[in-house]
Amino acid sequence: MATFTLLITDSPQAALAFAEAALAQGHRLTSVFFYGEAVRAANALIPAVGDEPHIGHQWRDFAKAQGLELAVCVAAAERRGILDEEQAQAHDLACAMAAPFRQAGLGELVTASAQSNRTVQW
Amino acid sequence: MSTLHIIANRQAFARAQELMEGCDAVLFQGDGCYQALDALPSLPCYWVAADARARALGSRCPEAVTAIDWPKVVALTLEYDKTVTW
Repeated sequence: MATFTLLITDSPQAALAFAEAALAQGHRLTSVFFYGEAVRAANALIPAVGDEPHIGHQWRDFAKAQGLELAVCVAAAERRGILDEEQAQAHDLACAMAAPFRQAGLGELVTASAQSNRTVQW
Repeated sequence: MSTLHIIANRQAFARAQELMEGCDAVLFQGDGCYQALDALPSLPCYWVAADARARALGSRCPEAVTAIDWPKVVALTLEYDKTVTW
């Protein structure tokens, strides 16, 4: 069994396919870290449109089923207006991030990467 | 140290080729699958079959490219010492 850290910057869909396959093989995810444009997947204020896949909902459902937390770079999220409840109150803006997504710093990514057999970016 | 180069977009392949070494391999994923239709290095080359099919490339798999599924992608990331996504 191996441990993976997933750094998601561009392709949350590919990362999800990889995560599903890795867990199905008995591997473990040390961390799932959303960074850059990929933090948009954490935006709870984007509704599902028609029958189109909603990658944020897909990650949310997968994480809940697997008991995972989804780390989201706090700076990248703030720049895009994706605030958690505490930040939203502080700025008097709407909360756009809910569990299993949560804010995290890059230090957490570094730690997780050091504790994993592989870090793979998607 | 061997590297699995993950080519994930249309522009990445040319840049990645400059840093590929003999013990490396190449995985074409997403829009990177289009790059597999160009001249390929003499390294093991793979593409994600589902991504290629989604781009109507499934029937155009080059001889030098092996079509694989996601479980095989996971295995590849463990087979090589590290991965670099371009």
